[in-house]
Amino acid sequence: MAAYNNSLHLLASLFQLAYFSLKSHPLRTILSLTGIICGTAALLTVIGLGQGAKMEAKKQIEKMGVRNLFIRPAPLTREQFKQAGKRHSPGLGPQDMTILSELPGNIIQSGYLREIRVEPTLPTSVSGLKVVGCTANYGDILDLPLAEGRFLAEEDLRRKNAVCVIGGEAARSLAEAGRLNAYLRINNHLFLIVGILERYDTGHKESGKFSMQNINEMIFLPVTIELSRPTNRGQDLPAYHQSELIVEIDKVENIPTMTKLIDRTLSVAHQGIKDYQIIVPLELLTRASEIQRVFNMVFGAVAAISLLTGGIGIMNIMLASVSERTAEIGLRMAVGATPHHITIQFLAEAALVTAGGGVIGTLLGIICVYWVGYFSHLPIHISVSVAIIPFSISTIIGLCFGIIPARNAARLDPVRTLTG
Amino acid sequence: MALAALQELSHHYHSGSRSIQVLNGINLEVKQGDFVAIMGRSGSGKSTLLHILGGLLQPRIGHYLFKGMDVFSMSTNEIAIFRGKHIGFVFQMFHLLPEMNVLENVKLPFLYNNTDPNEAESLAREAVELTGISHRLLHKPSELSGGEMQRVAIARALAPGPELILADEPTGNLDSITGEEIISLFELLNTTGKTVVMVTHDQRIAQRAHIIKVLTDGRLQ
Ligand SMILES: Nc1ncnc2c1ncn2[C@@H]1O[C@H](COP(=O)(O)OP(=O)(O)OP(=O)(O)O)[C@@H](O)[C@H]1O
Ligand SMILES: [Mg+2]
Repeated sequence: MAAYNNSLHLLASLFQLAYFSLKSHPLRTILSLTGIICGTAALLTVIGLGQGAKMEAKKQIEKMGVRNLFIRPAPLTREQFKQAGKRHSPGLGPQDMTILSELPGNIIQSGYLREIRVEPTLPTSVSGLKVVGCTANYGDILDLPLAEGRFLAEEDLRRKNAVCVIGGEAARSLAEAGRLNAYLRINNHLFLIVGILERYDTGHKESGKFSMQNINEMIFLPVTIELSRPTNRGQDLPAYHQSELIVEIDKVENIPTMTKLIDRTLSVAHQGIKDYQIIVPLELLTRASEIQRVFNMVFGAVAAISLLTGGIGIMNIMLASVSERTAEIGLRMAVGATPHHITIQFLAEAALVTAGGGVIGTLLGIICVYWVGYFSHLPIHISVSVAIIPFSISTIIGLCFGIIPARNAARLDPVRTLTG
Repeated sequence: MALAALQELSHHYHSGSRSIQVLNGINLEVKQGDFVAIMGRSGSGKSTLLHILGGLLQPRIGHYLFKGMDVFSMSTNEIAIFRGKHIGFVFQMFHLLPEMNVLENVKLPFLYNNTDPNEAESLAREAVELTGISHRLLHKPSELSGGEMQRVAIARALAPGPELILADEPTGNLDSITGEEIISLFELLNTTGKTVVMVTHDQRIAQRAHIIKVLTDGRLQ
């Protein structure tokens, strides 16, 4: 018991010695601290941004549904556009859904959505809202959460009921007009609001990258309803300008084969015109993590190099410290210090510098991550388990680089140091 | 039984390709309570002999028994502990740590021998009292005279209670009057029962010891 206390006291004393030694050379200490601080902060910033991007991408892709395939119109070149006209490719439309429904049983369901061009009869404050026609299962496929009422039903589509479901953000900006059972005027038709969606947490502004449609700001009508075209002068865009087909596959394993099958089927139906694209969230997920991995490797290497420089800085001051204090080391040995004691005393210097630098660097890194996130609007992620990584790495590096000078000190010949 | 006994001890240094035989068949017996002076010309190997006695050098040719323990067979760790426990060194150059005050310098050996801090404190104060430097307790070495520094160094050697005090020309850096005072201090320690082995080339200083050995051509006479 007493021996334990004493060894603790010894350790404390050796750390105190190390502290005094560092304090007596402030410039040297600050320089070596700087290396560790910068390395730690850089590494933490990289990790914080990397993690943020990764989690954001994952969240977005998971929102699309890993088992869903998205088929969207592809932008055509002028040449392709002419070809499409010649060969009478109708573009992406509800007829594609019918074609796909005849494919073998790996498809659970498919849904369709298209944008409806409206006359600006809605209040100007809500002009950002998007009116779409969709199938009844659209909400089910995307797991759209309802705040009130119901989603569109098969019945609505068959009977072409003048009903609509509105997104959470749409409900908010429509205010009084956006209540359940209120009527909404679109292109001189009145639509009964039968459902209001919960506000989707879109997270970041960047979310549009993965989800083309912002569900929050949409007004969903039965896709079977044909609204009279807006009295828009000229330049009509193709009818399929904004549309989307979602296909839900039964199992993740079947996604690659089904993707190929759907592609071939659609290619035939579209007369070989590549006017659609198939987006596979699963692929996006792997691609995102692939990009993530490269990003982590490149920037991690940069941060590691700066930490390495910090480690070399530590080694440098410790070598200086040892050679400056050979007489002291010899004397300590003469009064009974073992090589072990000497090693610990100098290693304590390295530990103090790296731990101190690590703590300051971690705090600085956290500030950096938030700062970069604030100005670049990039997603960030910091947690204890993330923050502890650069700190541990810098401490390990410091101790690794500190051990060599410390061992040098412990191996000194006491006679030479006392007489030399 | 002898406190420290050297038998047929030899030691040589390598200097480039040449080998310098410094000690050649030394036999020495130091008994409890002895006050030994070792004399000899410069370069005769006096310091080398003292370092061997103190366990700072392990030549491994010949034998060194300290209270029956075989010193040459000790490991690096064991010999460090041996030094801390049984030996007190006093050097010509004092070797005080400049950033520590007098009391801290005297307490230094206790750091490495598992002594309770309170006990270390009182032992250090006792030693400082005995060497007559207690009025300078909180001064740094740079604020002390040579004689005062040597008193601090002696207190440091004394404080942990070693059996053998080894002094390598302890008066070499002091004027003759101060040197006299330091020798008187060693005499005082000797009367309280400490065994002292002191290297000097000053005949008058050596006369104060009870036993004088002279080192010539690697042998003691
Ligand atoms: N590490 C060493 N390597 C090589 N030769 C050494 C070494 N240490 C001492 N010597 C040589 O050994 C001899 C004895 O040295 P030592 O220091 O023991 O002499 P000394 O009697 O104490 O001399 P002085 O009175 O000048 O202090 C000298 O010739 C010295 O040059
Ligand atoms: Mg000498």
